[in-house]
Amino acid sequence: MSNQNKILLAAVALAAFLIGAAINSARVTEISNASELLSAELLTGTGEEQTTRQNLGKFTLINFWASWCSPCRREMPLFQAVYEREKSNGFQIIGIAIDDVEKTQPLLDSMAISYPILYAEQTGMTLMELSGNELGAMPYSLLLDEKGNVIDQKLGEIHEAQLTAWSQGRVYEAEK
Amino acid sequence: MKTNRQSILRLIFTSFLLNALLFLCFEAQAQFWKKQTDTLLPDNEAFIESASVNKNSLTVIWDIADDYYMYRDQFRVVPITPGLTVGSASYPEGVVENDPEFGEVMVYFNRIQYTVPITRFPNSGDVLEFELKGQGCNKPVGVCYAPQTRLVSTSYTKPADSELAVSTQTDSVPNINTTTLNNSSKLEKSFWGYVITAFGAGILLSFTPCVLPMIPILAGIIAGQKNPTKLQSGWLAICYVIGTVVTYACAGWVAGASGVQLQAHFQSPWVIGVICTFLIILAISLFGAFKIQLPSHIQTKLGNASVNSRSASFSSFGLGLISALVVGACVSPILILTLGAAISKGDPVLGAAIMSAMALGMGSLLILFGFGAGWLLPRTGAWMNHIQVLFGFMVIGVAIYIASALPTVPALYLWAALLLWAGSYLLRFAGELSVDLMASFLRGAGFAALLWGGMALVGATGGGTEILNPLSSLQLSSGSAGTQKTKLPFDVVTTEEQAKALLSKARNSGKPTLVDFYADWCLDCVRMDKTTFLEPSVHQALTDWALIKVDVTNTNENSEAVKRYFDVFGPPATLFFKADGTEHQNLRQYGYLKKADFLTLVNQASQ
Repeated sequence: MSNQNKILLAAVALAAFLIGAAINSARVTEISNASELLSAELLTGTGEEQTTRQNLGKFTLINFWASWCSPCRREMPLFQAVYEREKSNGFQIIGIAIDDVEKTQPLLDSMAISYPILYAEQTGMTLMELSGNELGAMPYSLLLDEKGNVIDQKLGEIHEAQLTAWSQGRVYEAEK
Repeated sequence: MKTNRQSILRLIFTSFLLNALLFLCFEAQAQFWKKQTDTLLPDNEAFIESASVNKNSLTVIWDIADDYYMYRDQFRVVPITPGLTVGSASYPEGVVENDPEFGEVMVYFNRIQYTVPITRFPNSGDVLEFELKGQGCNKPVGVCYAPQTRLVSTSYTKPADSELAVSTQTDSVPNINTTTLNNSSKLEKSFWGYVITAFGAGILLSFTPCVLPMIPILAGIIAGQKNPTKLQSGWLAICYVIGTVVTYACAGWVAGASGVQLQAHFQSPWVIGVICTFLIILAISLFGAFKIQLPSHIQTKLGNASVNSRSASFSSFGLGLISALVVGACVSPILILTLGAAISKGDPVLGAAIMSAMALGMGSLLILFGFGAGWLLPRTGAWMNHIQVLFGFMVIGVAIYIASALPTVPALYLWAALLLWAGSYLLRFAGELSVDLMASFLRGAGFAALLWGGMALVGATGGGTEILNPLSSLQLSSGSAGTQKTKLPFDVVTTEEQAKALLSKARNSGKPTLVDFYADWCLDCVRMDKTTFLEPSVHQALTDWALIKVDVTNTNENSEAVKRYFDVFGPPATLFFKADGTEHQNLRQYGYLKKADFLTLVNQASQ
């Protein structure tokens, strides 16, 4: 292979990488924008208006769930346990229920959930879509830093190893 | 000749290689970000409903995709037609799943068919409407979808005591024939009438900024040939145009056969990525990277002209094939209008004919250009190499122009780099020239390019994006804080009902209304949001307007219904309604509107 060809190939590979990166960053920044999610006025169980922004911790897991979603309910006791353990280190969990209080309160009581829950029925679906989950499927969780930037996201149930990584603000690498 | 042939083969080879690499990088990075959504189906594909009335009962079928299941307890049938009532359903045995909170629940995989007795039929009418509700999940991924509500209407012949004959049709299949009945006058046109109209539309389009980027591309191809004759360069232009015709014909065929909206695909980052790759390859070859290899042969290469021109024809054809996709992004609103007829007739042949005629119309200017270029291009010598390089810069410029449609591409930085590069090249080129007049002209052009590039760089650091006004971002930030650009306060809706409600609210308060059709995947829509709709003068002009943004990002029953309601083919579309609630039909616009055009329309609508 002549020198020109080598240079050409290198240039080609570099261009491919950059274009791939550009396209992907276009996709990723598009899906990781949590601004709407942070500023939306949602209701607490007692009917107060709150935003997720005012509930942010050092690292915050935002979890979309609903009473009719069994994988969502399955992961919540784990969330509660890690929340108990890590909240003193600044780890926050916010559950966003796409549901109403009557259906969710008995479940929250029986699982002894103490992290904040905000309610957003149809708005919640829109917020979920705006923050990158186009299918509207659940559970869907986002990890945010203290400024509200998205660090990681996960559609589907979260397992303990991932949750531990998230509670320290780390992207969970094993699955990536 | 051998070198040139080799270089073209290499061009083809590298383009394949580059695309393979691009694909790999893309996939690898997508994997890195691990978007699991790719493996999940949208809800209307995961769960497909159907219903039929048989004697005195309604049979409901949910077809469930592999790995998905639905809950028995979440099924509901809600009669919508007044006077219609149903009894309680009987379900077959399903699979028992263990639920952490609710214990054992019954679920169904693959398919569930159940019946609901109809306890009372309405007194009149021959259509029964039901809402089918259900809720399901994907098992391996462990995600659930929101409860689904699907409207189905079942036509039946009025029951004697005996059988009820039945055919069903669900609303999720858009019924195109009914949507276009009011356009029936348009449908009377003959096949050739459409084709000729489309050809005319194509010729008009060739003078828009949509087709003009094709000229540097074509010029690059022609300049890439050594010593093209007039006929050769004309022929290359024809090959290029044939390429565009083929792409358009395929697109037209697809549109006619399926009614699929092409716009979404034309404007995808994928298409943009591929075309930019090809353009960069073309530019590299124009810079001489492919030919330096065997310099001694360049002198003697006037050998096998036929082989060379054949390969050149193919590459020209290929570039036409793909660049048509990009131009499609720009003209697609008009395309969609032209194609409306073919779509409504469901006629793929007509669709293909309309689109090819339009492509031919657009191509006529290019073919003229091709023959003209044969006259104008210099024949021999060092000049030719420099001209090639300059065309290479132009081709890169086209690539940047195309890529800047993607919101995250730092277009102004790229423009700055290109201009600075081209400017210094021009200065060097001028230094080589013995003719003073020409040299000073080139020097001037070089300095202008450097200056412009410098401004672009400064503007880019200030967050600017527009190459034609590189310093706009700075002017803004140097002004008072009050000039901070804000978004227009649109009310965003996704369904027909919401839109109707807002329209009637505006009518009651006597306000004119602006309706903007928008989708995330529609780059022109995003561009309008980021430019026109941020302008203070636009805000000013719309102070007394009610503003509705119809978001049709997700294609579903709601988006189809709302498009049908406004008789809009797709975004971007801008509609103006008078205070009495009627539309200024003549002012309706498809496509990107810049500030001046938009303000003119608002003024006309306000009068």
